Amino acid sequence: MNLEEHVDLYERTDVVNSLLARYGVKFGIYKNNTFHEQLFPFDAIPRVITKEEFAFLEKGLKQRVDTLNLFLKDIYNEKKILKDKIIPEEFIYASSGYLPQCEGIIPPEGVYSHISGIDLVLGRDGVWYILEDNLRVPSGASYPMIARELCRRSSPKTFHDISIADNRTYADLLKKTLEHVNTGGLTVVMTPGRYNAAYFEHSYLAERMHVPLVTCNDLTVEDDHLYFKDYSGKRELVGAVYRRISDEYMDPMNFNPESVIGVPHIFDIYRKGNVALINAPGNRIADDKGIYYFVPRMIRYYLGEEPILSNAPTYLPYYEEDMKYVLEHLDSLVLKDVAEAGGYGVVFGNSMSVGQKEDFIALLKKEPRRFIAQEVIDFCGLPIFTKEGQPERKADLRAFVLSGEKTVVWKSGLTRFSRNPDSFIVNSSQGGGFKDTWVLNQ
Amino acid sequence: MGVKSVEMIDRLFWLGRYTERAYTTIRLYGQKFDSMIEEGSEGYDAFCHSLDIPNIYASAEDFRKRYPFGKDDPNSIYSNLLRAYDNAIELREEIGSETLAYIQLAVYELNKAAVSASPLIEFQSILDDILAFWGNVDDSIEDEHARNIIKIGKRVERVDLYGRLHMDRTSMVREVHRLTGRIARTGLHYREETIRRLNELISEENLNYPAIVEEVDRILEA
Amino acid sequence: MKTLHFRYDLKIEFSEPVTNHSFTVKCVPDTDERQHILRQDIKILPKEFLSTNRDSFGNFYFFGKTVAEHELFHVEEEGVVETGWSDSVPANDSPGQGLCLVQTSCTEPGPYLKEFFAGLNLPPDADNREKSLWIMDKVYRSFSYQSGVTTVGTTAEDAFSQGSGVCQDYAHIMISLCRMAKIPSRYAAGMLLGEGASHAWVEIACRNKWYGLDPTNHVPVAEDHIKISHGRDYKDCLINQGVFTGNARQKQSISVQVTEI
Repeated sequence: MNLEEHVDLYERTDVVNSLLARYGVKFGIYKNNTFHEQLFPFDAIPRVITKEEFAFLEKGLKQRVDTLNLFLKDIYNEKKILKDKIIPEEFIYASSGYLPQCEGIIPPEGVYSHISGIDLVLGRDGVWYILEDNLRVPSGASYPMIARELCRRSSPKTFHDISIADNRTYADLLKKTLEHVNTGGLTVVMTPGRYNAAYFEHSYLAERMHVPLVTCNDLTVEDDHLYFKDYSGKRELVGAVYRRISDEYMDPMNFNPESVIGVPHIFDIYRKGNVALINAPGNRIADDKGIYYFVPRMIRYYLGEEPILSNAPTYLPYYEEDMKYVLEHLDSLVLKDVAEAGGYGVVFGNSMSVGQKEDFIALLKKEPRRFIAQEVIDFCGLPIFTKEGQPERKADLRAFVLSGEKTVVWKSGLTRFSRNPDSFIVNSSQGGGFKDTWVLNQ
Repeated sequence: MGVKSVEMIDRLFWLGRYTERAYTTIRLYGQKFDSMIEEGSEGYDAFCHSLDIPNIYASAEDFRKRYPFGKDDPNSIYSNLLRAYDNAIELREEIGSETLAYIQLAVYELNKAAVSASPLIEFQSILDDILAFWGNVDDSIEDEHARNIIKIGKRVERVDLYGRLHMDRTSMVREVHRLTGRIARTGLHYREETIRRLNELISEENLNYPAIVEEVDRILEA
Repeated sequence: MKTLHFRYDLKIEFSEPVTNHSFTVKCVPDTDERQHILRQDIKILPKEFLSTNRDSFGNFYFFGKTVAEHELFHVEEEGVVETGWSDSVPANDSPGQGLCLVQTSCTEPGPYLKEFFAGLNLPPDADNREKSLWIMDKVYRSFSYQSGVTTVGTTAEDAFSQGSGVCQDYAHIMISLCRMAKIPSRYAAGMLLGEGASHAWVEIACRNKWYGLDPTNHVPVAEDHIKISHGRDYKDCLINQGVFTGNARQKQSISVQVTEI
């Protein structure tokens, strides 16, 4: 395949962007406490993944997500991995991601992470590195889905000439995943509301799956079951809730009592097995950056296999020798606060002043469990199309792994790129844009 | 899909109303804008009066800017279109992205018109978008129930607006008849008394416009 | 062994009528190795649906909803319990002792408790039970009982720094110190013979068993205590939780009567 021949695709980047605007493909952002809807800039030069490369990634991602699902089940039930001292107990119990409320619950069909968003980068050394596991409510699949639809309109020839796996099947894949765990009744998408950053995605996925989009006002718990309240007073049983709302706000009776966007008692009936919540509550423990360190060990422990995909080289200051290494190599490391997400709480050692370093080291020594340190991975950029040429921008890949009857990797993904040439941060809440991700059929 | 929440019914109804309000007021404003090219400062007070909105404008120039584009003016065309948008955006899965797109496009056009020297050109595009929206409502909303509720919003708004504008008897009769014909098909609980009263009111010798407006706004009262 | 009769009465009065009231009530004692429930009757009013469940600590609870307007929510309970069957309950339960080593927002020590801990002179070779008896003794001597000076939201550190409080404060302070001493410890809520209100104490793990210690009264938990629930701290043992529609203030009153028969 020669992408050079398909320059018309790139040249129509503007056309695709105006179509994205037409369909309201936006994300919400709060600036100075007011809500804004912002377009998510699209660049038409895709990330291309060959069939062979995808087969490799697929194998590695399935291995990782299957392991994380086993980990979650173990942690909230038998705790073998703690008893066998693979992970120190306090890394679980002292993490804000561990929810004691979830103890002893096995979700419908035993699935914890139904939709996993795994963030990877391709190092200049040609190795794919996992940066983060997102097992709570990973968002972003809708963007490449709709961008593909629009690119096919703007450059049909490209898609005629090159055989690319169709990523628009995501809605079917997702629906199947949700229905696999449905306990009987409707499948719904639950949104906190239109002022949520990912509201476009919530409504678009509901549209594409042909299922209702609901808020807490539409749902009620009665007689040990969850119901959708019809305007006429009728009620319909709900069996699966793809909830795009975090654990803390889901149920004021069991989590944050101040929440006004949750459904009282939804967690009580989930505990009884009468509804599936997707993803399962309590998954945040697996997203914990401290737990990330242990994933390769988990793979060996639960599956008896060597990890196929690599973690970025990571140090845990909790361990004395790692603390020593971190203090000696601060300048070459990136430091991450385990409690933060979305590109926040990330500091590059070499960007700190002497004073900042002293403060940081004091904090690190006081709360060693709070931080991880990683080698700065020199990862590949991707070209973006501009009228002046095709400069490179740092880019990552969020792969979507769906676990239903079996674990499936979506043949696409969200490729995000940084806004500035010298930035490594590709998170959409901090500027930057996105690309389609092609998986080639041949 | 079948199941519809109270909120959704409400949004469908008001999407119909505000889209219609934006459409009719843009047309009226277009006529006014045209006449103001020569007349200059005259007549916007009468315009406000005919629309039954307060004249809060300091000058003809102020009116020309703020009535269509005023973000803080609750009676502006902008505010009406944005309320249509606010309802539409929360109905994507019900009305479909294609239908929603036309309301989105109308908002973009209105923003363009706000900085244009010849806003009537952009206004034409907004009217096109709104007509395309209605075309899509008919053509691509599969759920008949949802379709009827949006359209009943439009019919109610017509009677309300035409009543405020003191339109001629033929127009009033036509709009009340269209409303009467459709409302039973929505499956909504509506006030049958209102339909009966409206049909009485349009057969009176001297049309009592305020009574018509008051009556039609009560149609969904429990 | 003692046979105790208990009566538990929980009333929530609303200043104005409320609707859509979802509630969770956790005030039902349960049979375990230490106490055997011989019989009990529970009335909850008003309710439109009522269900039961167990939380992740194994505590029994009721949950339900009342949509209709009401100004009073009333739980009445009455029963007979045999206590003192054992001095402990097994500590192989979930979530386990590891969780009970982690401080929570209620127990997190500040400078006062840390300084106090440093001066405890814990016997180095003692087991967890002996150490915690030591801690209970020190807490009892350094803290005095006084109602009305703390609230349900007062942390161990705040209560300790002012020197007095109620059973909840005693329990949080002792838990904080035990956890600093690496003794798994948890909060227990229940009733006490002869006392008119609900009570709280501490359970500590030693040799895979949970032992109850009552720092307010400076006694090990034996025959006079009826346990309702346990958890990391007070918040896991809330007797009543509710959300409702309405702009009402609520007044909660609990009256408890435990007598020996």
